[in-house]
This record gives sequence, structure tokens and C-alpha cells, in this order.
Amino acid sequence: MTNINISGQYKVNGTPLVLSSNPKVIALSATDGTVITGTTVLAISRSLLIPANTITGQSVLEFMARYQKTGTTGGNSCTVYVNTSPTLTGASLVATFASSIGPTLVQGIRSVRINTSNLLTLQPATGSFSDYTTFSSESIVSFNASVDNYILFCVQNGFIGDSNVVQMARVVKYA
Amino acid sequence: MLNLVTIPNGFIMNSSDYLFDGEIEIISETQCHAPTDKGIILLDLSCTINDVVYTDINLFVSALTAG
Repeated sequence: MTNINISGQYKVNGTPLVLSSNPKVIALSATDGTVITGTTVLAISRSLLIPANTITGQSVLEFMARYQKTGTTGGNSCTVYVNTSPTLTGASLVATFASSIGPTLVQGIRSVRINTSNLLTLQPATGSFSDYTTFSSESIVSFNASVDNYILFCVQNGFIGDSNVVQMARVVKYA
Repeated sequence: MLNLVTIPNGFIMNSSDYLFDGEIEIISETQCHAPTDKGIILLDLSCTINDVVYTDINLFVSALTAG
């Protein structure tokens, strides 16, 4: 077997060649996030960074996550927010995977479209594991692609003795 | 600390105007969802409203919608 090493910079008519792919995984995590327990306040289990200027022009952003809940039946929610810092204060809700579920594993995948300064999502407060269903409206969320943005995968326990964690999460760009 | 400035039917956050387009939902003892023309915004008691600190989410929501 021949091993080929590519080093240095290749140029065409003076322009550097840049390898790219479409779609492109912007960020992923396959390890457990922060375990949320002992509280019923909405909290971040995993945040993934979209670096500034990663998204230009029109794009579709797809994000997925798997959540694991232990504890009582019902009362908790699995949601996704976007913010320019890895904090919930001032964050915008972009999707609700599930609400009021029992002890189980939940996996969902949702997509949003981004046009210039807006992120458009389908009814973010409506629980749905995917976008392959019926929604009554699209919601506009302000989005500034020229700064860092964080996709925040969040959980809210229904009861203080429950435990929730994001086991894996991924953000993919189509452009 | 994030300060919210109230305006008629909305608030200013980080120099941007947000206009309410639905009823604010209290989701925990410290947090609420504010439906606005720029999306559903998570606000909590770490925010001040017109530079006033609140420790009760019901009073926080009342102050936010009083503008």
C-alpha cells in the first residue's frame, strides 16, 4: 500500500485550493454532556459552537441530538436554543424535540433555513422529533452569522429527582 | 448582567427592539419564554428590567409587560 502525503499549499492561477464538502459537519459530540439533575430549571446539557462566518448567504442548518432521561414519568422537555454565547439568558428557542416524556431515550433531528440575518424554523415550541410532519407556521429568529453562535441542547426536568443528559449532538450545514 | 429596557409592547435587549407577539409563558421559578417578532426569547431573573433586580418571576413578567 502506498501512503501519499500532501503538504504545502496548492494554487490554481494564484488562488489557494481549499478542500470543502457539502454538507459539512460543523460540530459534534458523542460523549455525555452535563447531567442535569436536582433542579426543575431549564438548563444546558450540551452546547456546540458555530464559529463566526461559518454560514454565509443562504444555508440550511440541521441539528440532531439524543437525550436520555431517568426518573419519573412525564413532565420534562428536550429543547434547542441558539445564542451568541453559551448561556440561556437571551437565547432564542429554535426547536422542541419532546415535552412531557417518561424515562426513555429521545432522538430528534430538525432543520432550519438561514437567509441573511434570519433563521427560520417551524413552530419551535411544538414538540416534534423531525420536520417531517405538519406545522401551521414558520417562525423568524434573529441570527447574526458574522459572530460566534452556539446551538444549546437543553433539558428541563419535570421533577427534582429526575435526571437528563444529552448523549450525543451534531450540527450540519448545507450550503 | 443583561439589562432589558421596556418600550410599548416590548423591550430592548442588546440594542435591538423586541415586540411581543404572544403571551409570556413562565417555564420555571426563574425563567420565562417571551414570544416576540424576533423569536421566542428565554429570559430569566439574572436580567434586570430598567436596571431593577427582580427575585420573583411573576413580578419580573409584570414589569416586562408594563412598558
